Amino acid sequence: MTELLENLSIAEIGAKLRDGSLTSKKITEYCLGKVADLDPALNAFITVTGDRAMQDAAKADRDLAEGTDRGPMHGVPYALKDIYDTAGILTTCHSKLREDVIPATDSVCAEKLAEAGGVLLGKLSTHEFAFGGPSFDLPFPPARNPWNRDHGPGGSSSGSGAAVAMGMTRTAMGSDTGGSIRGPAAYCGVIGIKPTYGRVSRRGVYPLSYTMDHCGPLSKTVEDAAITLQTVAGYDPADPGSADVPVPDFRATLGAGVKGLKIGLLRSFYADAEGMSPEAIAAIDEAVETLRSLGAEVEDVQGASPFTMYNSCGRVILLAEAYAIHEEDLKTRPLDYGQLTMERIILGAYISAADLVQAQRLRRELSQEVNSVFLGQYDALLAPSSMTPAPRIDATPKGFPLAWPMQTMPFNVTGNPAMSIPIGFSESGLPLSMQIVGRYFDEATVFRVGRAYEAATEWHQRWPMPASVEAA
Amino acid sequence: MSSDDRTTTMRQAFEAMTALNGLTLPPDRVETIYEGFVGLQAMTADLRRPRSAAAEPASVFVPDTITRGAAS
Repeated sequence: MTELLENLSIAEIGAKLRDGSLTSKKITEYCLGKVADLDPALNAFITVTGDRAMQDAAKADRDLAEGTDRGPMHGVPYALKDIYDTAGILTTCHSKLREDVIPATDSVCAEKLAEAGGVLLGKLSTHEFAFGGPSFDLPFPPARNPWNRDHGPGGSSSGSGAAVAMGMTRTAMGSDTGGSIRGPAAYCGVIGIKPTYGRVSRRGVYPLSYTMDHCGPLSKTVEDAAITLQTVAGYDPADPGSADVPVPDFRATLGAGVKGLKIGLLRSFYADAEGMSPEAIAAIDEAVETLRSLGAEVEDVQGASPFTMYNSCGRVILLAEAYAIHEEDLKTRPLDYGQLTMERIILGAYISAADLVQAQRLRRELSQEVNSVFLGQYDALLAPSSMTPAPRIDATPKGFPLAWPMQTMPFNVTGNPAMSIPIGFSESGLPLSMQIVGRYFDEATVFRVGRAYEAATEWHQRWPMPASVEAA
Repeated sequence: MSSDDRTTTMRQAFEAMTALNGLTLPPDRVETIYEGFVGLQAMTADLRRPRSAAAEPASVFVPDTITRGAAS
């Protein structure tokens, strides 16, 4: 019987690579085999770098055999969202505007993962320019949800979510401007962490919104995410938003449990929101009880500012900055964008200078509220990752549903670390998730809470049925 | 301003801003984008609340970060 290597965590792969019971070539070949078998139905990958992957895997095996150890990602396969520049490898942003762009240099994250000995499997589907939506009018098809391919995997890091959920790779990099790591993580039932703004360099990653963009991993487990984030985190003086803050060992406190921690539940953000799924609410209530049973003190928290302010603030800033980036192309070649992307980003043209400054003034107030009022009293916060399980891929609304309360947006506004973690499944078999939010640069506590919950539950041990995808 | 007048004003503002921004909207997309414009205008009301003149934006100018990395 074939061993199911996708069940091996990154740490377990690392241990086996070092005790000689597994080679990087074998795990890489296995991952590439899964991509070859399953991706035609999921479209998670735009480019598969199979030859390079096998060469890098062989080198990792040689290095480790010779005693050169580059750390926990050495010899471990991973993939990158196709907005991360990769030297000599197509980087399309899933767009006709960049369908033949081959960067000369690596993004900082790609460089760090390569230096750490990681094995790049390929480049992953995204919503166009990390913003559009699942679209059928682009040069590449949209990724699909491995739990039910009639549903979307979320976005914009859609391929990252689908690939990790399907076990093609244990970890992949995504980006998050309004929820683009946490959304697909939620819909695909994997871990997705948006670290603190400034924790990971954005250099070489195609921007969507300069002050809201975050780079981070989507991974099978909390520990996998901690290892990946550890690899890419750190100060980059050439990134104006990068923070010169020490990076702790994220795994050091993973097993510390939640006993004695005070956790706030942002129930007011979602309890009365129109469109919030009762199944999602019930799953969060159950997760809260699990954390309480593990010794955490969990209380409802109520802020002075309603959720709508976070939503409006984030969307105005995002649209204004995104439009500034795309202004020239939207004026000169608007029809080269997918329709959904064009109809959304172009709205930034109608935001006044005063609106943008007011949004930035509100942003300071909201950030102070979250960090002084909420996180002044609590070690972490809980909130939904999404309002519902993954919708059907053909149910994407036209235009931009501005009022839709994206539960992830508040922490792009405030810049706090926020992680989506699976907390159950809907009756229809789709994942349900919640966010764990931490203080600035305290991803360690976010991981700690997540790992405690994960260890007490079994959601992370489930996989989609390959047969349902292969049969498609 | 009556509801009809407001709708007319919004439409005129949309068309003027579209032209001033140098945008050419495909005819079959105008209504969707206009709906987004109307929603966006409503949303900007959320950004405003009583605050002092000294209440600064989150994106203040910080010379240290502006000049950092300039040589690279």
